[in-house]
Amino acid sequence: MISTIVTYTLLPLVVINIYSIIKKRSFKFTGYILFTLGLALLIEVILRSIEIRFPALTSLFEGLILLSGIILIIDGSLIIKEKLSPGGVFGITITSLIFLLIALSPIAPGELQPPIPALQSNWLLLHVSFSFIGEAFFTLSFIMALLLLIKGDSRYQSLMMKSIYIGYPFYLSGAIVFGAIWASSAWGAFWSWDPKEIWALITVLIYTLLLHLRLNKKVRVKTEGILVIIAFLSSMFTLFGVNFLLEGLHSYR
Amino acid sequence: MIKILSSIKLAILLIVVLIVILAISSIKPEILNSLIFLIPLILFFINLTLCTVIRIKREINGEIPFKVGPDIIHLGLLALIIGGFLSILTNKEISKVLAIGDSVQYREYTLRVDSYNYFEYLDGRPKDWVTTISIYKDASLVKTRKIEVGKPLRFKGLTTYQISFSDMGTGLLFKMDRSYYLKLISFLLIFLGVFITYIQKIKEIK
Repeated sequence: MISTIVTYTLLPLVVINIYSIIKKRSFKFTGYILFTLGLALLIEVILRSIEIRFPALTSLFEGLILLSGIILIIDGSLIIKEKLSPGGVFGITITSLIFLLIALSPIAPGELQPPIPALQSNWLLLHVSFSFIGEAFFTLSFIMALLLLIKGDSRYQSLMMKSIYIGYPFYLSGAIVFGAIWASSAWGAFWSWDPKEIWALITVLIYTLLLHLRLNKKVRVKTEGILVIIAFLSSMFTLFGVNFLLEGLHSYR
Repeated sequence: MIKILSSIKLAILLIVVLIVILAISSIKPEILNSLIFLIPLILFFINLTLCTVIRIKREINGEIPFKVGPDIIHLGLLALIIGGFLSILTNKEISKVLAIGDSVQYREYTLRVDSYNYFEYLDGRPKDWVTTISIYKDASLVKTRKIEVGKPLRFKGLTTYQISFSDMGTGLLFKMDRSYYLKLISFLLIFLGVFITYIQKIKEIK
């Protein structure tokens, strides 16, 4: 399986990456490799879709493959454009590796199954793909926030905010808007106060809080970094925690 | 008073309060039905209404540059909250398990189940549930339609959803919700507004 090969290829890349942190210089060729690995994951999603004749985006496994794929593509492009420090590359690559390892673990069964009736909808596809595109950019902002706080270097702030400006509209539309429109046709209600819905809303509200604090202008860079970390953890809880800890309509896995 | 109610500081405070209440609702779901949630939500609605009206006024008067994105998001959000309250007041729904020939009365119409089918994948998992319904008015046929999971039938304010299936018959949900189109438009406005806003923002950074 492609995702397994990608996971093993990422391991030596992380080692090269650690070397590049020590040497304080980045290696552009790793950018092309990471970009290709990301594309390979997207191809896996496409191949699975062809096999079940429906876009294969209906399980946690497929979601995580898509998410890692998008993150690696962003990671690779930023290295090629020389916009990432070795530390940033390390953080992003490790995070996508973690997502892949979760995808390959028993938590996320990978068997190929065509979707049950409620999941056969175009709105669902928009719901899942937009949410994960948003999530991928939130991951980037999270790594930038960590670097911002660890190194105390406000250069990371611009990329952190840029990725939120991209991630926020995708996540808000995907997780909330398209999710609600899909639910209205599948369950008969736009909103059911289901734990996953509530946590997606909490995540959006934390980012909304950050964006509105910035309008008020008196917010410190450090506070912004902390909020970005909290918001990302909330998005992770929405993605994983709710499925395993709280009962609700979203227990599809 | 209006200055406080329309301030961004109050908006920020209310967002924090709503985040905390929503997080608590994971442990105590009943909090969402209480005044503890309702009061900040209403305050939020008032705050957002005032903010939006004042912003649009200032934009028209040329005091601040026109930024249409945030206005669209905020109007969509206000309409959505109104839709939410509207459906609490007007929403009526009932779910029924019906066999072939069973019918349901809606105003002067009779909805009768003609047939239903269950489709499954080779491994036995459900693939689709389909029910065919005919609508009659005074014994004359108005129309016949298929209902599937995710493809409800909308007819004169009544929406019929395919929600389950059993040996006893087909499980249908009948719902009257006047706020459907209001909510749909609100959600689409939020989608539109949020992309307009942030495409502009990213351009500003570059």
